Amino acid sequence: MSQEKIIEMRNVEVKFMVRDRELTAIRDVSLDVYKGEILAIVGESGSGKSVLTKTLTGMLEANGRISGGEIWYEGQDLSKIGSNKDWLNIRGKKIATIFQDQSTSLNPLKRIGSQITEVLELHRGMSKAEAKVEAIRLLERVGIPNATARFRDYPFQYSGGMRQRVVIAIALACQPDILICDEPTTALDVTIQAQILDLIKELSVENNFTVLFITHDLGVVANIADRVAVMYAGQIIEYGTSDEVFYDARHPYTWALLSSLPQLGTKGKDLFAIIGTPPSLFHKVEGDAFAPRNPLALEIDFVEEPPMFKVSETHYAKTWLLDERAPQMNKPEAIVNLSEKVKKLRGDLNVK
Amino acid sequence: MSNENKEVLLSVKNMHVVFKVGRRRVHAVNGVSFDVYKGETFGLVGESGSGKTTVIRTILGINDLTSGNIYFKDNLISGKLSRRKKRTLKKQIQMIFQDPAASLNERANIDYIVSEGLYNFKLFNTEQERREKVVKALTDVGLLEEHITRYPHEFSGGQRQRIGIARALVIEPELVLADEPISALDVSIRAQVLNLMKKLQRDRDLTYLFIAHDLSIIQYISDRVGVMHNGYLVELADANEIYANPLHPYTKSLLNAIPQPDPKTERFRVRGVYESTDIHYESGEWIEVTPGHFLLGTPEQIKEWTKK
Ligand SMILES: Nc1ncnc2c1ncn2[C@@H]1O[C@H](COP(=O)(O)OP(=O)(O)OP(=O)(O)O)[C@@H](O)[C@H]1O
Ligand SMILES: Nc1ncnc2c1ncn2[C@@H]1O[C@H](COP(=O)(O)OP(=O)(O)OP(=O)(O)O)[C@@H](O)[C@H]1O
Ligand SMILES: [Mg+2]
Ligand SMILES: [Mg+2]
Repeated sequence: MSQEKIIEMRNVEVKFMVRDRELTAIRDVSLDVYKGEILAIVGESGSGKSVLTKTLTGMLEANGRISGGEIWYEGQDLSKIGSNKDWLNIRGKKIATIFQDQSTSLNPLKRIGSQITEVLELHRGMSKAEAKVEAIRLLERVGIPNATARFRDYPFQYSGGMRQRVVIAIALACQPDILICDEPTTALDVTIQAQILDLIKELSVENNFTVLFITHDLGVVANIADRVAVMYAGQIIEYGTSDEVFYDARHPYTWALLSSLPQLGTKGKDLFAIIGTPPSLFHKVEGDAFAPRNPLALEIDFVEEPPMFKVSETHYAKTWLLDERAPQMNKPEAIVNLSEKVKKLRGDLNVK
Repeated sequence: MSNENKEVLLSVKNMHVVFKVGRRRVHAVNGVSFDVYKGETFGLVGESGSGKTTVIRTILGINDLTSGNIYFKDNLISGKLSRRKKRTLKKQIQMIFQDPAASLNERANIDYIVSEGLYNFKLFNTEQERREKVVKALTDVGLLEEHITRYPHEFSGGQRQRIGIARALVIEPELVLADEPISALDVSIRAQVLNLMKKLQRDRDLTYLFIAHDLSIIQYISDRVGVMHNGYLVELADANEIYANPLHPYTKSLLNAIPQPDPKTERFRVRGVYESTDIHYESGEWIEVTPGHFLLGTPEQIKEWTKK
């Protein structure tokens, strides 16, 4: 991983208008992304993972806007780009996205093959014949069996997982600088998921591109990420290297997230789940947004927002627990020695 | 636990589904048979494209059955049905769709989407009761009352998926066909939804046919698990049995590929374990190798796979 920053987000804020009321989906987020790294973004559903990455390609819905902050990429502040024309030089070409929901990324009326060759002809200036050869190669690369025969199929003839692999092939066709993956493997079985993860890792090394990887599967995070950022209610509340976040998490929300893993559950008993609901984004959030759901919250959590505290050069967490005046509090028993617990589980699974 | 004296709620017998695409035929489901017992969770796992969604869409009558029979409470529900029977089935069997975005009406707000079944089957007396049911269904899946006036595109992926769950559960069905119902949720909300589904199962004796790619979740939630590959059911057993003693090579490769939430384990993961199995399923037989543990294979294959 290099030290060269490819993206610098400074105090980014995003708002949406919903029938005359304004909600704040991203609250004062600052984040550096390093060239060539794979950064996983995890966190609560609705916490802003997709919205945050959509600001990098100007893909916010019409009722949304970047209402504050800066996003630097190649000497340009992306948050200030106004025209769709300027976005066309970046979106798809330099920063490509693979979305959570593949049905919106493929045109149902066009053949699979031509949806890929189109991109190759447009972005890489290939001839029709060259594009076809390359498209078939890409389809094979993402694991579509019989690629030559299925080149002429329509999307509905593919299963959910196969369609997702096509979407990945299309994104790769542009050879982007940054690949944003918004839950790209959620619809895939674990064996194909493993292939796709290997593929993304290989390609990121081969082409030195940077990957922002959104997922809910912490197994996938452990497999692919160099670094992990955890989001809650529109903010990044902890980030660090994979090892730091899995083995030495400091924020109570990250603790709760790890404690909810189905791997740590006992059959027939309830899984650990966080009580309550996240705050309404229509109102200003007072103090630590997670406090009302955190049984261990301190008085100050309800009053004042915590700053980002430094744990190490690479590890930061936004919790008052890291203040020197805070009482000593240890992570829950369930996630102590996570590595051993997981190994034991794998031992119970009767696989080599 | 013996399965013999359990009540069979749903029975799929020798299901074949063939799609015609131009001149090509896609054999999506090939002779699949299984029973789902009342009050259990039956997990269906397998390769992307192996036919899982097609199986449950065919149970619901969305896809045409090419041959075979489907029974619900001992009544044949495949083939031509009266309108009344169809309506009753719609109330009894609900589906949670794999793709939440495509299954929600974009022009309706959440209040209407969740209420639709309540209206269709007149499951409330007063407007206030209807509203209460909707709000309860939404908060049960971790959404807020304030979401009620919003439209599907104004939600995150996981929020949309929860709308689909709320909509299916609010009408209190007997059987829920859940196609990747929680894939887009973070682990904590996943836990909350799974706990809710389990609670409903205890309270109402609800039955689930549950498809998921996340095998850790299937292991946690299922009583029995069926494994599909290439349109065939290749193995079926109690959940504990299949995880502790997988026999079919495909099942083994699947279990082996589960990513574990531990960077150290993942860093030392052996690559290349997911070689595709090259087995001609059509010559196999469906054989019970130990009580409740079924395998698809020829006698020679089964001998090979079950030898210690
Ligand atoms: N177009 C929109 N209009 C109004 N609110 C929106 C819109 N898009 C997103 N939101 C809200 O912004 C918040 C962040 O949404 P986002 O899609 O980024 O969540 P996420 O972290 O990606 O969640 P998930 O894991 O469920 O995909 C959510 O509360 C969502 O309801
Ligand atoms: N309407 C259709 N017309 C033609 N072929 C179809 C149709 N629906 C599904 N198929 C094909 O049937 C096979 C099984 O698809 P299905 O969607 O049931 O798989 P699945 O197991 O649910 O996969 P996934 O895990 O990716 O969702 C696939 O090869 C698919 O391409
Ligand atoms: Mg999202
Ligand atoms: Mg499916």
